[in-house]
Order: sequence, then structure tokens, then C-alpha cells
Amino acid sequence: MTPLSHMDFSHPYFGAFFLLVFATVVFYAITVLARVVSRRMARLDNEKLKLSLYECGPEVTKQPDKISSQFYLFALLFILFDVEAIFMFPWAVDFKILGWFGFIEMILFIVLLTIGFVYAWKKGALEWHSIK
Amino acid sequence: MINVIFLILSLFALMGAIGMIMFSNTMHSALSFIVTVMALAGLYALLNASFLFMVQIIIYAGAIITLMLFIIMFLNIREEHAPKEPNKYINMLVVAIVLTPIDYLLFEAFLRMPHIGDFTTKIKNFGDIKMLGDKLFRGWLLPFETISILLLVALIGSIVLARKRERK
Repeated sequence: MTPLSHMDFSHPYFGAFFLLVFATVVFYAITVLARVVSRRMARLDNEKLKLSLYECGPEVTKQPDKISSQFYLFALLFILFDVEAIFMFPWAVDFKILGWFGFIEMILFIVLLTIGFVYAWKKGALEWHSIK
Repeated sequence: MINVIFLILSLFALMGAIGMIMFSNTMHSALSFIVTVMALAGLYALLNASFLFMVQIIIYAGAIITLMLFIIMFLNIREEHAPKEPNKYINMLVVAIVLTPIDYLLFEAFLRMPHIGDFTTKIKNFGDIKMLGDKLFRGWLLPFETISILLLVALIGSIVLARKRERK
């Protein structure tokens, strides 16, 4: 086994990954801690009236257990534009080397996706429940 | 030390993958998959493959997992909805045996790779975004532009499928 040297961690992205993992662990720790602490501290007197659904006037009905499909469409559109954005990254890094050639290439890429964007817009996919 | 980190990350990736097929609760399966995705991102980071690392975090951990969790929430799948699998572990064992030749092939290919047992990168600028961009935008022009058409098709397709069916 080779001993850990400075060069091993010279790749900057491993440090980024390490920070990401650290942030995730801290996030989970805080979430779990908040749950545990609040459960310990809360008073647990389960009177029926206290736990019952309450609404002023109208009879209380349970909400249907469904989520709108519109959320899913938004998530899908998000992924597509996410992929587009990620391909812009190597272009942005190499912008000076590639010059006008790369610029025109990228414009073509963006124009093709803008057609899709305009289509989505015209179809009303970006508004709530109004796809034509 | 690098080897130890590599082993830990691969262990996490394997555990996540095993958890994904073992959990009967769909939500737990999806969350277990996150572990795999993150561990793979760590392996890419270890290889200095910065672009893949970024894609793994932003697209997979960020977007694809979200989409999967959305589907689970959207269809409101609960444990009792899942089909009963009394022979689950036997089936897994059978599939594992059937896949043995492919595993052997992969293992052979792995053993023939150069620099085996050494997970530090030898090539300078290996997996660098600058180099990748240069290759992508000079040598692979047409495939790159085809990606945009692929994305366009996916976009239009999703909208067409998502719109409400007209009632007759």
C-alpha cells in the first residue's frame, strides 16, 4: 500500500466530492436530530378532539391521495434542460481555443433546443394544467 | 490510501445496489440507489474524471433520482401494492448463476487492463474537462449536434404524452 501523499489529493474534484459527502451527512444528521429532539420534547397527550381534523364551517373531507402529473412533466423538462446545460460546460471551458467555430456549433445546439422550448411554451406545458 | 478509499467507495456502491434489489419498500430501494450513484461519483472523482463526476452528481443524483422518487410518489406505491415474491432469493440465486459467464468475461477483461492494482491516474490531464471539450467539439461534431435532436425528440414526446386525452 502506498502511503498517502500530497499528490494523491491534488485532484481538486475529490475534495469536492469529500465536501459533498460531508454536507450530505450533516444534512441527514440535522434532520434526524430535529426529529428525535422534537419527539422527546413534545407533550404526548392524545385527546381525540386535539387530533381530529378541524375546519371552520364546512365538513372536513380527506384530501385525495394523488399528486398531479404536471409535477412529473416539469421534472422531465428539467432533466432535458439540465443535460443541455451540462454540455455547455466543456464548451465554456474551451471557449477561447474553439473560437467562432465552437460558438456557431453551440448556437446551433441551443437553437435546436429552443425550438423545443418554444413548442413547450406554445403548448402551454409551462403553465399549470393547461396543455393544449 | 487511494486503494483504501477506492475499496470503501466500491463497497458502498455494491451495498447500495444490493439494497436496491433487496428492499421491498420502493422508496427505500430508490434511496439505496442514491448511495450507489454517490459512491460512483466518488470513484469518478478519484479517477480525476471531472466531467463524469459532474454529470453523475448533477444529472443522476440531482435529476434522475428526483424523477424516480416522483414516480413512486406519483403512483403512490406502497409495500402492499408490490407483487408477492415468495421465491425472491431463489430467483436471485438462479440469475446470479446464469450471469456467471458474463461475470467471468468482465473479470478477464479487468485483469488484462494496464496498470492493474494501481488506481492513480498515469496520463496527464486524464478526464480533464478542457481536453474533453476539445475532443467533443472538434472530433465529435455530428454526434454532439445529434444530442440536441435527441433531446428535442424527448421534449416533444414528453409533452405529447402528458397532454390530456380528449374525451369523445
